[in-house]
Amino acid sequence: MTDFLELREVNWGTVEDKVLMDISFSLSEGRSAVICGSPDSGKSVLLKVIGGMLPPDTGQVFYRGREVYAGNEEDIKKVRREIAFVFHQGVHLANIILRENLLLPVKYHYPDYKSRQFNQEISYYLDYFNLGNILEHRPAEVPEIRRKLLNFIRAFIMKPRLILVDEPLFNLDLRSQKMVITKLKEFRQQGTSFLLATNSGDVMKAMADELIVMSDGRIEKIINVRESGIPVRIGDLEFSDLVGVEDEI
Amino acid sequence: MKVIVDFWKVLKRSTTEIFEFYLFALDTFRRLLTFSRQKQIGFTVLLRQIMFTGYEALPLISFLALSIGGLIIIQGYNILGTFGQGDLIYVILVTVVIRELSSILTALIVIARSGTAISTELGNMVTNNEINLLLSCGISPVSYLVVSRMVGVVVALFTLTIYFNLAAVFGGWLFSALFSPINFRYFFSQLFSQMTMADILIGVLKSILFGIGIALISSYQGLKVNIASTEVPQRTIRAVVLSIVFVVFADIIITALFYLI
Amino acid sequence: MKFKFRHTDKIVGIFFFSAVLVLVLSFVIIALSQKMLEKKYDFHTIFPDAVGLSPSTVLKFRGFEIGKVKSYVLNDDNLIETEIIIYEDYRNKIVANSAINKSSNPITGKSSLEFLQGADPEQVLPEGSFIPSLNMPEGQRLLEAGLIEKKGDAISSILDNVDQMLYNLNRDENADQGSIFRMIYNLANASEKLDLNMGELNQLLVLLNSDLKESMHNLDLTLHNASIMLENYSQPEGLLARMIDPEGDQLLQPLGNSLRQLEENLGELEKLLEFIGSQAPEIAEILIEGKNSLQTAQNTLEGINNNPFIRGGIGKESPLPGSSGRTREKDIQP
Repeated sequence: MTDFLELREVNWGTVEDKVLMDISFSLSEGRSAVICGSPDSGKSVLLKVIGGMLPPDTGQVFYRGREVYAGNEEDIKKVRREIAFVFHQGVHLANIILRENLLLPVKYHYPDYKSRQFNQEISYYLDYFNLGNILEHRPAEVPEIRRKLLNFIRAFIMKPRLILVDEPLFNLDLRSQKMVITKLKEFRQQGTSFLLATNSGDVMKAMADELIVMSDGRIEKIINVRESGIPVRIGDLEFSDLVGVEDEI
Repeated sequence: MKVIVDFWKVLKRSTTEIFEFYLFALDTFRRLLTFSRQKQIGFTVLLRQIMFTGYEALPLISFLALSIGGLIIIQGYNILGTFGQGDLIYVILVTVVIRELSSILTALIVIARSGTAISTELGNMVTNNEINLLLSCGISPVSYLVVSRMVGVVVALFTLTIYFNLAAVFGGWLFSALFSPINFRYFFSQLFSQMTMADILIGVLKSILFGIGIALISSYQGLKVNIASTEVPQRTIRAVVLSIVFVVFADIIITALFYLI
Repeated sequence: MKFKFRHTDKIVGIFFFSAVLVLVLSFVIIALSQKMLEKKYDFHTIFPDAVGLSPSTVLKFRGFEIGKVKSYVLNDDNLIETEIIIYEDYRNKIVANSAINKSSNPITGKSSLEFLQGADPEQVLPEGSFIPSLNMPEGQRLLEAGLIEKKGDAISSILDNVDQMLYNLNRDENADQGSIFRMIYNLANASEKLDLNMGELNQLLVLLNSDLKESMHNLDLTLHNASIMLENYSQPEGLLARMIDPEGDQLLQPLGNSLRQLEENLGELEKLLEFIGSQAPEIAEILIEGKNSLQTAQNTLEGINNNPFIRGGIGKESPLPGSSGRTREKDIQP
């Protein structure tokens, strides 16, 4: 059986400034991993390589046995339909209203989508995050914290098999952080895989099956959290514990 | 020695850039063919682009065309009249305004308004991760942003060129009527007898080519922004300069071809 | 802003499609005005030169545009092989023994082609036929054989020209207004000057007449010699003028005065010309009269020119004996 997600000797960066070096790992379906490391360790870049934004200079990324940067538009489209990406900041297209922004991937991947079904889901999440009636506004008109939450909503309504999250708690207040973690946990329990780049101990406790420790563009080690538990610190890295989720592992 | 090394570096860089641009243009045209399939996403962008580049530039274009048409008629009439060649004014109006000025002036205005806007917007989209957002959804930025902009700019430029001609010709008559009355019917029958389909087609052909060039150059420069927002104005300036150079060269080549054939 | 966003599609639609409409309309108008949609018939002719020809030069028959030049090439015989297209409506005008006359307008320098129909309107020429041009021997033969009428008598021809001129003059939008006005201006100028000059000349001759009696004998001799000399050498020297006004100031000064007067007269002439538009028929008469008087004047001038006394104007210094004019200085002064 082929792996759900597999990276083979991925390199990315210029000759002078290598950001990723010989990254290889794999993830089985339904399992989640947290990538941790210092800010310049390359964890965010790694997520973007998997997320289809930065083609690796050498090496391959496979999703369900299919190379994600190869093939025609349709092949790439099929892969992208099942992988969602949440940016560390609330990223939206500035010149369309937020409703259009939320429906952007939906419209692209399901051209004959039923707007009622998606609108229902969107209003469910809007209620959940207490966002009120903001969908007719443009991104610049709403606060960053809401934009970030909308990023999660955009990922959730696509019901992806893999969600890549760059700094899930960045720019969020405590209350929102709790809500986000709860939702992520729900998705995880339903079998969605996650790859999260964060140093938050809370997220690790809630989400991690594996801990991928990165430093200077290399994977230092991969810790199977189910067996060994989450360490409080690795080297210089200290895993903060602000939200206080219950340890489920 | 240093000069040679520098020159070599510049040569290498520009060759790479030209090659990249070529690939980019090729990709854009390839995706243009599948554009209709994803009109759900691209069509709004297209309409807005036409709206901004075309409709909103209409007052400026009309004003410019009206004055230029008027000036050419007034000046030409006075000078040519004294030689007894007053009827040549229509030839001048056709060759100068309809065949040359309309497309090139419209192109310059579109560069100033929309070329800059496109490269700035795309540059900012890069720095704001919006391009990454599209990529993460599997949407090609070229399909979503560049193709629609290119089609938009071409349509807008084409349309504006027609309005420019209309305003210049009509403005020419209107202005000249203030100084020496020319019968409306006479003016237009003379004008149309001097005009050929080729004159109009060449203007249209030019506007389409200019539109493609301006949109591609501006988009390419915008997307070439890497991370920093300080790159955006640099890229925009580059886009403007290269677009103007392109438009002038393309115009010369088309005119030369037209007269050679 | 909101309005624009809500109605983007409609605004853009109107913006784009009205431009397309304008484009299509202009194509249609061009096609109609250049008779592209009409069926055309090809004929050809030969001209000795291509002066004034252009691919859109129109062929006129009694002032009607019945066709135009399609193309022309220089053939092996160094003649201009010219393709002409005839519009459908006038196809039946192209009959046997017709010809084409190429002439250029002296005012604007443009060439015009005139179609001259053959005598028998029943014998329609087949498409692609050769129509001789009057500028070539074939056409001239037709003319000599009396098969076509080139033009009417002299007067009707003049009237035609005057008509044409007045028509051009009368058009509000006439682009050549400047040149025609200038023509008339010059014409008037010249005739006025001529009149004045002739007045002066008369005066001069009268003066000379009364004055000359005193030294008639001498002068007679001299003149006799002079005319013999002139005939002998057929080298006109403007003998009399030289004798009368050796410094050039006696004859020229009064002329200057009269020119100033002329200037004033011209002011009035200009006012007159402003009325031309509304006074066309009268002007036609004036112009014909003007032409007649010019003709007379020309004859007079010719006479004067042929007069050995004055012929040659102020020429070289001629060392004729007894040619000093100083004695008559006081007589010539006005």
